[in-house]
Amino acid sequence: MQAALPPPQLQVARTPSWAHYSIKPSPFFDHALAVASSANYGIIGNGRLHLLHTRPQLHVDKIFETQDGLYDVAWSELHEFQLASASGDGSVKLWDTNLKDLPIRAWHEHTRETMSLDWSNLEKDRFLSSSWDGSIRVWTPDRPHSLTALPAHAACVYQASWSPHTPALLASVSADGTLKLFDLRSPFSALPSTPAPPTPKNSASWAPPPVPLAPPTMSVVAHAGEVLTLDWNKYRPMVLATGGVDRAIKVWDARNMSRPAEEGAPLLGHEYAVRRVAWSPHRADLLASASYDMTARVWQTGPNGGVLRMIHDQHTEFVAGCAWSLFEEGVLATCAWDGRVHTFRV
Amino acid sequence: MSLQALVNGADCGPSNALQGLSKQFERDRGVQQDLFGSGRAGSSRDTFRTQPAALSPEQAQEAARFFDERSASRGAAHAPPQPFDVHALRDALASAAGPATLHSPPPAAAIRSQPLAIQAPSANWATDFLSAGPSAAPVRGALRSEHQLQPQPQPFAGVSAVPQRPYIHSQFQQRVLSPPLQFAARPGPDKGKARADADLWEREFQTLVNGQQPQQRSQACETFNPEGAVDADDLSRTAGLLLDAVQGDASEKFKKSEFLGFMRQLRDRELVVDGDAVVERSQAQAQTPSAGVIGGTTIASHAHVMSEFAGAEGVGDAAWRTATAGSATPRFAAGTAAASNSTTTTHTGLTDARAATESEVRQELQGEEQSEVDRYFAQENAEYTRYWSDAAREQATAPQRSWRDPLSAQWDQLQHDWEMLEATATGIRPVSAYSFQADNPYLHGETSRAATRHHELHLPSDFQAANYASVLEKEAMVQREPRNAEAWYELGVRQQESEREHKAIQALSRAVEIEPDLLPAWMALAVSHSNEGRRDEAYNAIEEWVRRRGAPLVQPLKSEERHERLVDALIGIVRTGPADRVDADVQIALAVLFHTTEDYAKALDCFKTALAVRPEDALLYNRVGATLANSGRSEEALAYYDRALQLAPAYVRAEFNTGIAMINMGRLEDGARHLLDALALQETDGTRHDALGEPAAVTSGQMWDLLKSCVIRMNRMDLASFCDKHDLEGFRASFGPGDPMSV
Repeated sequence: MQAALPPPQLQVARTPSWAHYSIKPSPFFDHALAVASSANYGIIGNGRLHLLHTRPQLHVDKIFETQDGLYDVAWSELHEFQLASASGDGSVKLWDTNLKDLPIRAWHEHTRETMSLDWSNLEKDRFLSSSWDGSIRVWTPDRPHSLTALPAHAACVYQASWSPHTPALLASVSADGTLKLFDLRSPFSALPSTPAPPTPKNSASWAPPPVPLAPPTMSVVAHAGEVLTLDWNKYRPMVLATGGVDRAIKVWDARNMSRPAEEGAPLLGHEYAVRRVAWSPHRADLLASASYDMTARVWQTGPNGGVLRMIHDQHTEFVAGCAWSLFEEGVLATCAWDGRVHTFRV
Repeated sequence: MSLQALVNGADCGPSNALQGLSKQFERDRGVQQDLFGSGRAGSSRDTFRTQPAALSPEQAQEAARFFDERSASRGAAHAPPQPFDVHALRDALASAAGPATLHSPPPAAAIRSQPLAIQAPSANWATDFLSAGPSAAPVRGALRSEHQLQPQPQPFAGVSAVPQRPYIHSQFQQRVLSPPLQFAARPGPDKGKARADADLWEREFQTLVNGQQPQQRSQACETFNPEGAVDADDLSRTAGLLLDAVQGDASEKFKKSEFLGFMRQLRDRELVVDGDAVVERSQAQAQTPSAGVIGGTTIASHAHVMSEFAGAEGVGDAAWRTATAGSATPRFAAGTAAASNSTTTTHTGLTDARAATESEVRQELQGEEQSEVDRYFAQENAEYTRYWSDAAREQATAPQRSWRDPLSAQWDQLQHDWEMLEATATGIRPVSAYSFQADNPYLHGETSRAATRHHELHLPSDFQAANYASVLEKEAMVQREPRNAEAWYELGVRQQESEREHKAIQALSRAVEIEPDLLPAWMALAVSHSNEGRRDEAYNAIEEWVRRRGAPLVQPLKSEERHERLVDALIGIVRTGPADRVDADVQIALAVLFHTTEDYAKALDCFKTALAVRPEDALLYNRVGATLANSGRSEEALAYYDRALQLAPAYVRAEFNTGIAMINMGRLEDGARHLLDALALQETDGTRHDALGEPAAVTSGQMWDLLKSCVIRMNRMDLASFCDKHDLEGFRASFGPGDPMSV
């Protein structure tokens, strides 16, 4: 019998005056965490990418400064030292943790804020970004332009995520209240991958060509109000969780989207919008959520809906991100607008 | 962007107040657009990066030069240069603050990227701008005075370094005659107030017109830059909206939140956004004049930040209320905003520093005057609204919030327990030590109401009858007749059989308390005490028993010699008794005594003697078996347990003892099954409520512990956790069905 691990104390790393927007653990190193943050709560001003080291104590290891707030970050699945960041100015930047100051690549195709990033763990050479401009773009580090530009929603795409089980399948949630599934293998008319060539000055204004929205494989109105986040279950193919401004977390089975999955009686408890949901990488029934009510919660889903397992109440501002440790079961990291990163055992 | 969510909400209809408000905004913006930007084709809402179309030649030239430098300083910008498109910005504001439909993409995002564009070349830009300004301004002025249809690339107040007086005049008068834009735009509750403000403006204007030229200029600056004030106003207004959205939240965290404090400062305009930084107001005054406009962009951009959040409110009604509350706050802010803005522009835009200062002071005064009155009304209004919305919201959210207090559930439980106790223990206060099970169904039935039988317990027939009655029945009986010693005794014996020594002792103690001459109760008490290893108490009970049998005892007995004296006394009873008849009770008492000193051979003899006269006594069979097992003869013990169980199938202790014996013999799985059966039997004694909710209350921890050590020896770790949780169902399910052929 393996002795139970002693619960690690709540560890806190502070980054004063930087409001955190997202936290992601490295898939290569068990000690590395990346946090995307913005000055002035992301309202205006610069961004900063924090790289944290969990040993011996949780501390900030390195920072990268950006000119606009950062909203999300994604570690490369291909290269252990690389990670991408999503900026408020619509750009996507690729960083190398061994270098200093400047990104190794930057793309600027989104016409508005880039809200989320997700690196595919099946096709490890590509990652996606979702943006306020309603589009989802697929990138590969080697190419100067996006591989695909998917006109996914008519409103802001708060988050998009690759299926961890099916290649080229992705899900997105949007301010239009829908959850959509796209299979990139099915045809659609893409957005131009490059911005229109610079128009001569004083000529007619440039406007995006009217591209119809790509037909989704599946689309469902998931929440009353905007849907802010989603995550694929890591063990049950086609099972997703979504969270929205209606304060609910819902579990869906993409094979039958007419209603939330059997086990998906909405998980209620958050008092304000749910900003982030994350399934445990170790257990099929464990789900963490972060919310504007300044708490993070852990839920256990089951046949009768879900059971609230834990409330993490230590943050003093909106909790914007949460992520499970990929190496140590039951360890959760949360980040918030109070400029603090917490790691603790659930 | 979910101010929309705040506004449109889940259940907000189109008749929403804030929607109306925003319509008003849009209409007013429309006027502005006519003024400044009607040359644009279509709605700016659809374009992400609007560029003013069809500039007039001279303007185009001007702008080209201007932006060339700008874009050069930006480096290789592949996107068309951002022409400080305030139209788009303002439209964005309108839709950001208002209920843009879900389908039209909120353009606030476009603005979000603008601060960068503006701030990036700030140093170069400022000088460029100043040099470009003087020549550009007259053109613009002229155009404006004609109600030009040409768009302005940059309706920036500070630019008008060389203002055109006639133009200013007309523009200003126009402004005074038609209610000033920012007043009309705001759905302030008091139209009369706006009028009063207008009058004030007029007076001020008069003094200015009659005054020095520079003062006029400064006034003109302000006239030219009404949108600056409006935009900045919107920033604080949105901050106000956000704050109102959470004002119902009474939690400490929200009160202490720095972010909300930040919003509060924005709302109250203690902070303004300047370039890419947020600075305190006093500081901002000394800075560039761009604060106002950029403030406008900020509001749009931050809308997304708070929108997701504010959207959470989702409650249409709440949004409605917020709207009213929100409209009050910026009302007050506007006064200071206008003042601060104009002073700023004046400060930098003018060459005559002295004159500027004069006008600044003047306006400052005016601003204060305005804001004082405004502040009063605004505060009154806001407080009123807050009060009511607080009350309503508290009501609305009260049930949802109940989960938050982890103590409340506990408290409810306590209350419940207390009530149960009150209800069930009426009249039997002295024995509150014995806690009855809650929800005893027998208390409500007629079965136990039958006349109490007088049991000579050790008569086999009676024993069986007594044994079949459940603990609950007995408890009910006791509760009906709390002064009935017999009932207590039977309950005690029943509990004893069910392997609940603690309760048995309580019940038996109560029985002898009520009726000290109830000999079997003393004996049973002695057995229970000895089972619990309380030797002294066991001796006490036997002593009482012996004394009441009439045997002479020297008083008081010293503890060391107690055992011998008691044995002597008992043997004396046996000797004095009739030779042909064995007194089983005396034999049992002796056996118990020997048992306490672990004199198992003698105990066994006594028990067997007793058994000879009471061949149908399950209790005795069990005791013989236990004595055998204790002396290491588990194999033989099994036969006695078996017999006991034949006589009394629900005899938990016999079942338990069987399990122990089997485990001692190494038959782990069989032993576990017997323990399981014992636990199951024990559980049936509990009320359903207890069995579901707190099985630990009715099943004995001792048995679980033994079962756990048993399964651990069987290498069934999975089962051990069920033992910890006392989860009989789970254990049984995981253990699987037993071999029906096994014992």
